[in-house]
Amino acid sequence: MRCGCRGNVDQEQRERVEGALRETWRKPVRVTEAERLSSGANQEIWALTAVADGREVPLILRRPPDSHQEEHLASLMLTGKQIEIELQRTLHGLGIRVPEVVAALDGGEGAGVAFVMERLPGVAVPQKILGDDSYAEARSVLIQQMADALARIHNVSTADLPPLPSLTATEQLGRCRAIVDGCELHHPGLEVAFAWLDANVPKAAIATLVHGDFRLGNLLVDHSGLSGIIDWELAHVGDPMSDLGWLCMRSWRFSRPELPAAGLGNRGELFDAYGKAANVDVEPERVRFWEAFGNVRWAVICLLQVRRFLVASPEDSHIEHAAIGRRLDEALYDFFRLIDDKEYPL
Amino acid sequence: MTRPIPDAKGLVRAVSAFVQQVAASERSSYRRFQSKVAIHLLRILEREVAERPKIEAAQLERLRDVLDTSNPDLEDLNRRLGKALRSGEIDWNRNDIQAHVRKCVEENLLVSNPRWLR
Repeated sequence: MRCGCRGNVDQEQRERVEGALRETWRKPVRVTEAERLSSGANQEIWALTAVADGREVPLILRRPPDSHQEEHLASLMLTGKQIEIELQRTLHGLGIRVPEVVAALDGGEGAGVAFVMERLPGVAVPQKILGDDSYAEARSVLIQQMADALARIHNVSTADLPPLPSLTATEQLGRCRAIVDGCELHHPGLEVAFAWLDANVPKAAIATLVHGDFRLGNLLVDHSGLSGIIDWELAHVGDPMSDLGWLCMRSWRFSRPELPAAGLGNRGELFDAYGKAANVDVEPERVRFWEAFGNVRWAVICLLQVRRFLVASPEDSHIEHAAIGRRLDEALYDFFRLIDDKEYPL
Repeated sequence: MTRPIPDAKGLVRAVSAFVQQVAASERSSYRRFQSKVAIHLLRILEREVAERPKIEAAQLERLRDVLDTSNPDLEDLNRRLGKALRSGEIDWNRNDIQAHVRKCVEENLLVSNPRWLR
């Protein structure tokens, strides 16, 4: 980027952002800073500063990656950008702590949709939240706050929602298999996992809005606690217990693997808090299925990421996409532990 | 026979040190993050060089037992087993298959992330 700004949002992108903001705010706007954040495996996430009327406005830009290969395979997993934007707007309007979408930028044919939203306070860096002394107060309230937030999300009337994909476990398994096939992979471990899950799908449950990727890496946390819920690209309508199972996966516990609830506490604490907030009885065995399922789903997402590396040209390739392929076996290992262990510790 | 120096370990150390030196002067936090990932991958590569031949020999032997064949092509056998499990031609719940896929995961983790194993 020019003007001594950091990062390399290109000139064209910057002008598009400025144009969209000008249209929304109806006043001259300049983007003065842009820094790419290291989070966001599917999307590029940029922290921008826009100046209008001499006032600096901190913003976030989410945009599709430069290379768009394999769009079809990823779309089997993703909500779809336009629906994601509508969903964020709906939830923000309902008073749920979701960043307000300021402007959507249609990049034209093939370029995908980018959008600009407010930058809420807090960080979505689990290592900091779990490790730094300055987040001790936040840690003491986060289980309750996550449970309250999930109960609120699951309680949104589906009639108010944009047309999200409605996905049962069986449908999701079908999509996972299609992704594996699209990657031209024959993986006996994944096949056994798919077959086990198919044979153990719990009886039908209520279907609600599901965040789909609810974990510390997608929660903004400041020193006093939860300040925002971000990254809705895997949102769908499905079994609400899937959000609880996903939140307990070891992959999201970082330096505190002994604490299943996001590295913050025990499953029992989370289930009790959620049960009270949502006024439901949490069935641990149902959550256990979804935690096992979540690991297999994560393994398939790892596959999608590494696929992006494999098909990218050298100048468009990202080393973190290659690295994530090596996490597939972590997820499968945890899957087998979950289905083999007698106990599901609460 | 004299081994060329640096050996595989030494080469990995040289590239890791170089990446670290480059990262130290990098202003972008995203680039510094990517440098850490690069060093992490080099450590995996070091274990790959040391362990993969043994792991593949063991996997080949198990696959030949499971599929009752003398075929020596590991990739081909994995493809056959994957397809047969998908189609139901082979029962996914067979004890030897359950044991084989778990063992494969553990072997791969010994290379990719040994600390994950409990």
